[in-house]
Amino acid sequence: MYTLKSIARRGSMLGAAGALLVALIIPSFAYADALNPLTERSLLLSSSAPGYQNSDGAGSTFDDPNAIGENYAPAGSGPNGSKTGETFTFNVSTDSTTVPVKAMSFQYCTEAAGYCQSPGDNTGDARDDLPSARETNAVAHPLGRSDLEVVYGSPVAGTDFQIFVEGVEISDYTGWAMSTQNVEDTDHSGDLSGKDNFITLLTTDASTDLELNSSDQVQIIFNATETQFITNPGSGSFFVKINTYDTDNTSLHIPTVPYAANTNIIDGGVTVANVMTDSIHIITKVLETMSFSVGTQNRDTVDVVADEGPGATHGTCDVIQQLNSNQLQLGNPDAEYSLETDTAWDVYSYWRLSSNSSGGASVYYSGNTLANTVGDEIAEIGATKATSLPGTEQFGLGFVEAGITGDDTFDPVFDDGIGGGLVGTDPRFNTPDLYVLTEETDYDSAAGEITSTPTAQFAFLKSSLTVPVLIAQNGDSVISCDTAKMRYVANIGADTPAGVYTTKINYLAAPQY
Amino acid sequence: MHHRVFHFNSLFTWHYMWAEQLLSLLIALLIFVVPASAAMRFQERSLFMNSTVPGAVTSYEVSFQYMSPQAVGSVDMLFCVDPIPYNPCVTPAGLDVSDAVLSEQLGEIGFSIYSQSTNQIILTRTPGVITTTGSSYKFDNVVNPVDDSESFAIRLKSLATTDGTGPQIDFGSVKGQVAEGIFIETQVPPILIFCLAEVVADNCEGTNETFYTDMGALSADSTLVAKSEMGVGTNASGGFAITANGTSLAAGTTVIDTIETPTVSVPGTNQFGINLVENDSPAIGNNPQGDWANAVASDDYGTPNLYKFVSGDVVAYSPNVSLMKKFTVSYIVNASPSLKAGVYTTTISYIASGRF
Repeated sequence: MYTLKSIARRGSMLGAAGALLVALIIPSFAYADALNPLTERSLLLSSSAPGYQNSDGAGSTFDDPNAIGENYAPAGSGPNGSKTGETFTFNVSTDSTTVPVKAMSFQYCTEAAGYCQSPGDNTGDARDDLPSARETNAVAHPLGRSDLEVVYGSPVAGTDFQIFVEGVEISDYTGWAMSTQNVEDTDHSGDLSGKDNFITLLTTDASTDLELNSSDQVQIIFNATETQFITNPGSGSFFVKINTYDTDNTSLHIPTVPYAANTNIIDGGVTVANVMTDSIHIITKVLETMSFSVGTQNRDTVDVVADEGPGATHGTCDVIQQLNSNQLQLGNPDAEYSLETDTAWDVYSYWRLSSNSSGGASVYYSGNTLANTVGDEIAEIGATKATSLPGTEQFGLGFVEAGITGDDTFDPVFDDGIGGGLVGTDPRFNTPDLYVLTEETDYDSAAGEITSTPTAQFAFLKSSLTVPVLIAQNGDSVISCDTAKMRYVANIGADTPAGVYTTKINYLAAPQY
Repeated sequence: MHHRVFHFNSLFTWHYMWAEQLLSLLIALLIFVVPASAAMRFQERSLFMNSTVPGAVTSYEVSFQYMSPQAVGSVDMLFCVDPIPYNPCVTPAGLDVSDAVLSEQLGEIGFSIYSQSTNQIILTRTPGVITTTGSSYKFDNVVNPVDDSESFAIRLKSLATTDGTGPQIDFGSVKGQVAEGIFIETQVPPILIFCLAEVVADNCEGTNETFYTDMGALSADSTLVAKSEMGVGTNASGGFAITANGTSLAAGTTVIDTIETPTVSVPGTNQFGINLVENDSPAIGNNPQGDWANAVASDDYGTPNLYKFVSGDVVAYSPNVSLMKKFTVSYIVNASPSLKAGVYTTTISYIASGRF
């Protein structure tokens, strides 16, 4: 935006300098109205792309919607030079509170002064008495050429064009109308385009005349739609001559060359230039990424220097570590990790997911309940979360806090507890937890007591072995770094057959890109 | 257009008719061919792996949304370490889709497997315009990669041809990753609960701590009786067995005969026997108490009014896990008129064993 404005302003200065030079060299072309110039002029284009270009960086166009009806590069958007809108801004010099502005004109020419040739690089000359003497834009665009063309068949005041005075849109458009026509000088030595390059805005209702104070800022916006727009020329620079008038008589708006005094002009006679350049197309690709780790130790909690040696440091989203081949011993450590009928026992594991999937991700678990080699099983808790009940066979799992609000003690170097640790202040990285993924309700309450006055709740389905069970998901966000801490609980009854019981819980992550 | 053709006719002679036709053909090609070249990225792409165990044989469900409303005749799925289309494809170690089977398809259907290799599946169908956008394809018998340290990608593209050749229509990638599972190991310790006394509480929560009974004076006209109780439970998968061990009542060298086969009580004969059920001749004992039907008295000791005692016999057992069953042991003693006078005593020990 700033670049366009900058170009316009620099163009204005160049234009002004050019106009001054022209005035010095060819005094007969200088407008008398230069004494009452429009100042602070700028022209902002919705697109500076050549008129033959209407696609975005991926080559997609508005006329070629995708399967779900999405359009790319619509009229008025940056990549679309074929159907542009324009915003003119200028300050008036003359106090017109007594002789108000009733009309204004915008004429697009290739030069700042003199004979007007409409900008464009289509082939042919409209002077020739042939229907195909000058290429139409429909023919020229596929060939990389374009003429400037103002296409506003039935403009609606306040919608297709808007008028602002001192930053405030006029409240009443009664009588205001917009018309377009071709105004080129046949005496120009070059080819003429024959296309509409002259816009007139006027009001026929005296109550909506513009009574402007000197230095008032006026802004005119021509909005682009798919049917009403301005087509950029294919190359080169162009100038727009702007005049304000005290009459709505359109026959008095047409400029003459050589210059003849037009007493109806209030301000203007100057040009605004804008250099047409192709857009800068920057194309890069962000490819799908995914990192999913499952383990028994969160490296963020480890004193890595002591554990791994000097120079070891924490990353922002280290993978979860696998200790002892991811094997967890569940039970009383003083009794060879055996379960007891009067005490519930638990263990923990972690998983961490990061993915640039814009559609979020789903995480599932899959596994059998604890079972021994002869087929005896510790009963699953079931699909609905339930509290731990010592003395009753149970096996379940659920989420607990993985971050600093949980039970884990983090390496002080990794995080000092106030967000100023090694990995900075972004909580996604310095306080690992589930930030994007939402826990499923039946698995979200595993924190709390499990033996005396149990409060923690767990769920588990052994059918997950064949039909994985969803435990966390998100449908519309990138997963920067989500860390989960899983808690497993087991209880036995006195009749639970003795033996060694094992299970393997697998976690599955399915990002949606 | 009509006007322009007419104009060409007016400009060109019949010698140039071929040029006019060629131009018409070019225009037609511009209209119909150019839009087809605008490839778009599949949307809502995902890969669901039914198992993430490294090297496991599992099923993959690939889902995506077609974006271009053009006829699709094939879908190319190339399994590589990275998703970059123009990079050489490095097959994920261990992955094998050469035996994959297309088991389910939703949305845009009608596909079958045209060709497949270790890391590529090409689906084919009679070319048809996309009418439904969201689609999914499930493949069974896919062998997972084995490296859980990195993810892998499936490079997807749809094509107009039926054999996976030619320009792509839509493209995109999905990613998946295998991961080692969490192994959880625990033990359920062997449990055997056994209590014995004259009276025991349910679930062996206590006893009356009485282990001695004075049965009274023997006579040839009546039967002396006594009882004791025992509770037992175990999580032994093979259940439990209780044996009764000891001798018959004896006074010095005089021993009252034990009953070696289940026999009724006959006053006036020397008999010592037990059973574990309710009797009415004499009226003594209770049937086993508790919910565990699999814990029972042995056949020889489980028939009312029939008694037996052979040291070492299993008097009660369960074939598998059984929780808290209470047995009542009834003792009978009969004496013949010729039985020598004396104080007859014995000690019966019960041994409960779990078959873990």
